[in-house]
Amino acid sequence: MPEPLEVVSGAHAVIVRVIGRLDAKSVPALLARCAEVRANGRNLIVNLSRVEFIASSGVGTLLSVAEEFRKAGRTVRFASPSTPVLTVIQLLNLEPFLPIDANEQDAERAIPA
Amino acid sequence: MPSRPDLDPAEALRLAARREHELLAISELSRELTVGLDLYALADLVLLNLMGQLGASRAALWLLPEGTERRPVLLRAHGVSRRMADALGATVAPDALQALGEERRILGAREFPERLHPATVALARREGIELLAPLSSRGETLGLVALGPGAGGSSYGPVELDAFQASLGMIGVALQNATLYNRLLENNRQLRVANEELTDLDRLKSEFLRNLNHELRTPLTVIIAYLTSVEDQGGLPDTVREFTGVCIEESKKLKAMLENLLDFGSATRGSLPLDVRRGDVVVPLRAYFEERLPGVTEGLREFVFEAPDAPLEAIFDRHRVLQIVEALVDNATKFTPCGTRITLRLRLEGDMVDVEVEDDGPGIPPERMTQIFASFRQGDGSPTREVGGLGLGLAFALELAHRMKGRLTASSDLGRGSLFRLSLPRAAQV
Repeated sequence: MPEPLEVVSGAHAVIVRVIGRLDAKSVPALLARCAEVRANGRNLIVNLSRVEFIASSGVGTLLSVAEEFRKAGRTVRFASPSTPVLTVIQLLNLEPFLPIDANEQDAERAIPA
Repeated sequence: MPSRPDLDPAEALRLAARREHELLAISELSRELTVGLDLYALADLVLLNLMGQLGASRAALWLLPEGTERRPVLLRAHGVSRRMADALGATVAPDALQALGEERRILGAREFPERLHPATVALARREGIELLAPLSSRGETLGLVALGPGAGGSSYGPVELDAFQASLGMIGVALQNATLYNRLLENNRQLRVANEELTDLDRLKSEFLRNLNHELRTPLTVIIAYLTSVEDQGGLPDTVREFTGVCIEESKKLKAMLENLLDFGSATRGSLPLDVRRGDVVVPLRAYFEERLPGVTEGLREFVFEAPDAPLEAIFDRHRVLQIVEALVDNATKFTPCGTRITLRLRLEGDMVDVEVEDDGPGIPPERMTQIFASFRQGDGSPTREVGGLGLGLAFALELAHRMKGRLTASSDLGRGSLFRLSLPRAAQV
């Protein structure tokens, strides 16, 4: 089974790539990693292009991460969401709350230096 | 879903998809609730599921503790300030929550002023709480869930509230089952620990008997020797000879009784022997953590285990280290309020392996800190136990640590928490 998260450091943000299923099993690792980035005062890009399935707890995690970063005065962007992710984001009208970019480069550009 | 003639087909499809999403979320919730028994992990999954189900970016969950102080204790908050959520839970009047639980009533923000204390209403508004709902199961009110508004800006309609209500029912049953099962596991663990401690007490009793026997038998032997010497001397008056004879006979009887005691003591002796070996500290303490987790979280304290992935090799007695850690965790749970976070942490520190038990409770006053390892000692320095406790006292834990060539230290920051550190000699690298 591949690792569910890849973490790389970008120019203005830490990039976390989620791989496979974003569900009850994988959300604790994503939450912990995002909390670490926030605690270090960095901005965050969550790449969702390789998410094959997103459970409700996964959607809740994206919302929680977005809210916690907003409250901490940091920026979080969601890059290239896969079709399952985009479908549920649109269904719940979450586009205004979860800032989406076509790819990691666009997300980097959208983050204030 | 009944068709509504006033809806255009696109909107009807969207609503159907939304309904399907909510049903899937409830189905996922039913699976996720079986994941584990850690109430804090369950609370996380519950909140994240509800947030994803209803599109909310804020949520919090409180549970009512056992006992008379029935104010909700915060387990988890997402997107809500933990400090504010703590305060909000503390302002909820037990009878108001009980009434909501009996009605199984979800309160919308506009209804807050009618049913809740003004302080609760103010805190809920400040944190942007849109819904407050009781958690209940089998007629018992268990706690409270709060949800913020939909992150997309839409308000909750009857369909969303129905789905929320259905989820609350499942969550209540799951949390109650987890609590009851945790209590059962904790009772079993306490019985096992009590049994082990009885064995230790039995050994201590044997040691006491052996010591007592030695201390009494030595002077008695001297007394008998002198009396016999007196009796052997000629020219004693008859009365003195008679009295001396009685004294010798009674002393011999006493000595025989002591020897019987010695035999009994020897049969069961072995007072708290140490079995110090080289080994990995992580494996037994991870197992201890997993066994202890249900009891700690059932008491509404969060329990966290932090250890490196690699083994930590030390020289120690596995059983005695577990006893020391149990004493420390036991203290941390007894002397902190509900909602406290207790961390069991293992790490390498120079040539020692540190086992730490840290809490973020109220801390220990400085005047007590100086006595903390001495308070349970008797005047002669022998260790004794805290009345009513199952665990070994800290004084005994300190003694065990020293006997393993380790250290046991304590530090505390009043209002911020306490840290107890057991340092064990690190095994030499081969």
